[in-house]
Amino acid sequence: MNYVIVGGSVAAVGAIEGIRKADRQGSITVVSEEPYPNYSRPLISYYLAGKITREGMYYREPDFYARNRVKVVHDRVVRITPEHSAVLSGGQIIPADKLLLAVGGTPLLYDRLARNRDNVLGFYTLEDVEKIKSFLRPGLKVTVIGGGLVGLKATEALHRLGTSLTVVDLATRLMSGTLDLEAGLLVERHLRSAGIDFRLGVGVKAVEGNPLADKVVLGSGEELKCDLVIVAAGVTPNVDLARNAGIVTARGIVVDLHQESSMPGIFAAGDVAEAREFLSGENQVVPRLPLALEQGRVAGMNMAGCKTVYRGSLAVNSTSLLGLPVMSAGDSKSEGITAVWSDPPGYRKIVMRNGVLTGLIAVGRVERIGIIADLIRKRTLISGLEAKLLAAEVNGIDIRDIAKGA
Amino acid sequence: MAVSLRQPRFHIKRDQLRCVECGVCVNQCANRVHFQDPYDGSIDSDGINCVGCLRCVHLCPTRALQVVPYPSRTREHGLWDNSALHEIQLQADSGGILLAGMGNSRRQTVYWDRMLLNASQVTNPSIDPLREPMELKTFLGRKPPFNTKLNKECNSHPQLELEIPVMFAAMSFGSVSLNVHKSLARAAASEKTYWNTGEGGLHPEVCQFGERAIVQVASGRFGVSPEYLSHGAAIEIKIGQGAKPGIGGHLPGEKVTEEVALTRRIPAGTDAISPAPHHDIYSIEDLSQLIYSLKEATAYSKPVAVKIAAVHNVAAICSGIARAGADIIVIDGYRGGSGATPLRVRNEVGIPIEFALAAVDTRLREEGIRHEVSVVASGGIRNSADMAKAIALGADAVYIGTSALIALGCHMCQTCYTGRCNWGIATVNPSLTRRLNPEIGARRARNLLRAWKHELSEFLGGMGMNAVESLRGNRLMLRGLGLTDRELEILGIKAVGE
Amino acid sequence: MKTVTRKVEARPEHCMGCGLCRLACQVAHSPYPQNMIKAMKTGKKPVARMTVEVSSNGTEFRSVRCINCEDPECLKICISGAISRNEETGQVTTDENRCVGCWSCVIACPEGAVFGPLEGEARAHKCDLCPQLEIPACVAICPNEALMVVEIEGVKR
Repeated sequence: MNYVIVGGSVAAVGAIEGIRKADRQGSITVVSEEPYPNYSRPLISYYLAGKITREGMYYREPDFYARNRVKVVHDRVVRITPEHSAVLSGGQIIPADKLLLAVGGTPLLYDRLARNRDNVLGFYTLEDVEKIKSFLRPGLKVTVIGGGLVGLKATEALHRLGTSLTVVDLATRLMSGTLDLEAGLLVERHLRSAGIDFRLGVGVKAVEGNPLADKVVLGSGEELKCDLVIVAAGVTPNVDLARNAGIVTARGIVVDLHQESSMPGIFAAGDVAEAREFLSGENQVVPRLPLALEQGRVAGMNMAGCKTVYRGSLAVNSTSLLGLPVMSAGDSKSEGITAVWSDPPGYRKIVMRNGVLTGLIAVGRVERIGIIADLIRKRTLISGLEAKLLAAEVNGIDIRDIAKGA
Repeated sequence: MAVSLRQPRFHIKRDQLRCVECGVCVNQCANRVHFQDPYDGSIDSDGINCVGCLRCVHLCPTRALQVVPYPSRTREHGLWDNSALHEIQLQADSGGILLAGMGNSRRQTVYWDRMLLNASQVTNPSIDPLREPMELKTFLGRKPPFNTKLNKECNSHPQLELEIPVMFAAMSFGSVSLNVHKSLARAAASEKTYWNTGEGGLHPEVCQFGERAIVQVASGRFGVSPEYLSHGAAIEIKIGQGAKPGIGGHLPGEKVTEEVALTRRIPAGTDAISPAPHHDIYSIEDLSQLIYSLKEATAYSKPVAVKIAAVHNVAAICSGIARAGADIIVIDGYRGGSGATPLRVRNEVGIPIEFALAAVDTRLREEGIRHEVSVVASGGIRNSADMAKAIALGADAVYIGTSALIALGCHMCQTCYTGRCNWGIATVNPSLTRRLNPEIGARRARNLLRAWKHELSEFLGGMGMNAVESLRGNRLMLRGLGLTDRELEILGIKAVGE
Repeated sequence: MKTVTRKVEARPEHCMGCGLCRLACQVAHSPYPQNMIKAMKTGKKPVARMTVEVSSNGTEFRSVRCINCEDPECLKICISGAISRNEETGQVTTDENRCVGCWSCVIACPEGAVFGPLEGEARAHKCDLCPQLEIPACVAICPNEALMVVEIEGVKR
């Protein structure tokens, strides 16, 4: 049995583990564009800040491929044949009995804004970080386009490196993808108090300067002078390979509960896949590292003949921004019941639908919050017990007493 | 608000260098003596509510605590000592009857300590209990007369068979926790002796130990049903107890939880009051009637015991009880314990077990009816020496209550009636009762019994005996030290040197 | 092949919420594991890898620590791959050196068994079954024998 995995990131790692659980013999080939073995993309901000070394970036141990008898080919796949073989950039064909597309996404807006200037960089790959490092010097002025999780992690790292920062976002609040207004404000206040500046609710008209960019022009007309521009405005799934092969795509590659695409024998997992979402039951692209791992595993097991069903993507985010923990899970933006604390500041919101917990935001006071988040996955009826979930100290005994399935 | 005349009894000394502010003392004191500052974590203590149970001292992981008598002292006086003052102050503050827990606290002669046991020298040589078997087995129940020919027509009455002559005394579920019953029941079962349910009924979770249980029928008749009677190995009619002779039992409403209520078959939260007399026993004939009703109800298969407090005329009373048909008489001396009793009654009513036991044994022998009942002595048996001396005075076995609880962790703070026992013993509060793990409790109770068994064997061997029956009623093995002639006469023993 | 999984089992019916287990855990994972006073009074208070819960009505207590799930949520969500599971012993361990303090494991753990500190040099900590001790510190100190070490034998396919 020939397994071919296109892409070498976390989804690929999951797939390798999934395949090997069911099939110890079959040959596995990974075709990866990036020259580095599997590294964890979310770690690039920590690498930039110097919190971890290059070696610490890798998601699995150095002998991971050898241990699992995986052949790694560093190349780009340009086409997929109807017999689901992969065609490489040099024309070489790699035959596959089962093919997995774990090709991830591409940063949005980047090409349009960058226009090949060296100091306009994305924040997506290890390569991006190496390039950023080359610009670091005291007093560096940086504009970060994108106030979502990625943009703010880049901001945090650059702040720790002593640069002066302004963050721009079209939305009127930070992390608008996962946080509500109250939580977004808390984060903003916290970062502002550290000296980071923001321009929210305004878009970027242009990035000007040649051969190096020297200012960002906003939709309001304001010009932000800067030495370095980071574009972290979101990512779009790399559907071209699939689309050109006639596979059904929407925003991402559409897959069923076994992570199989519309073409039998071809699977997809990770940031590129549009798989079942946990709460709605409908297909959605939810680009998150742990979900990429899980989807990869499910795809791998199904590819190896061990039928298993993906339990559904539940968006769970957790990070710490300059010491402030910021977490969200599920349907975090809908209206819910909230609790606010000061000294130290904190915010928690629970979202319910038909009495069942469907979403959670926790900023500060996050100790043991997993007990509450787990109720989302268990679809627990929590009506009448909201006060317990909003208590500053999460108490497992009280909460478990009420856990009943929906 | 008028100043309280109450003074602390104890003072907490905290070595701040050793205190790691872990908060164990705070969460383990149901009397809220210790408190932790929520801001800086430091811990302080106020001894006004401290009862001296030493829970915090035992659990403190760095031994940073000492509980010492309150240092402030009033001027010494032979009559008006601290206790006398304290008791008046309490009554002036409250206007109520003073309650107390556990047994008589008087600084009075302990007569066990005035009796000494014999040992063999030269003649009737000692026996080494490590090399020779010691027969400690005891049978409690009515025995046939001395020279009866054992034949098929002879009535043999039901007996309790004990491997050691010590049993666990009656302590009701409600005055003590279910975990206490579980601990004692398990230990009694493994050491092949018996435990007494007390007047609170038999909880379903200890029903399995019914074969080793003596079920009590007290004046409140709590939990008494044909099923209850059938579960026990013997039935004990409780007329009185040493801690409160002449008055009934009292379990305050706070201690009557749902579980206690169910087991006693009364409404939860109500005071469980046992009246002073059994309202169907107004004469010795009535007692006889109840004894035989119980025997009928259990098809004469179980011994029926009668428990009384040791009072004046105890010998005559016991003679009557024996003739009324009881198989076992339990005499509870004035040191007997209780979960709640008026302080004055506890300390001023009743007589010491040493004299009561000797008087009863003598009287029954004189009347030729000693074989009709087994006599069990109870009330302040502290160790195997007290037990051995009791046997020498005539007891067939002894009951231990206080000793058993001390083995489980009781520190004699004597505030059982509050229900805030920090050792999880004299309480039914679920956050406290879990502190006594019955596995540990059973282990400790078992160890106590085994230790006393070994010590009794040593005593017997030392006296050149290999059976406890040889010591039973053998007053010649005792000598009195510092007793008056009259006391020696009543005890029926000679003075040392004689 | 035979596998032996070692777990700490908490019996809530005997737990009295004293918190000595948590204290012992702190001391065992401090620079002075043999000296409780030094451990707790020198520098920062050491981090406990477990906790004790008290119900709001004060009658129930639970000693909570990692239960070494077979399919651990923390392992799946960890962005640095710092959490791994030993197939033979079933033990889930965190490599504290690889932890970057993102707290994903905190929100993932259904038992709430991952602990901070959440400020400063942030790293996630969880029960490691005290590999340096014969008996885990919490089990040894429990005054009511509410904690036990349970060894479960299994067969690895």
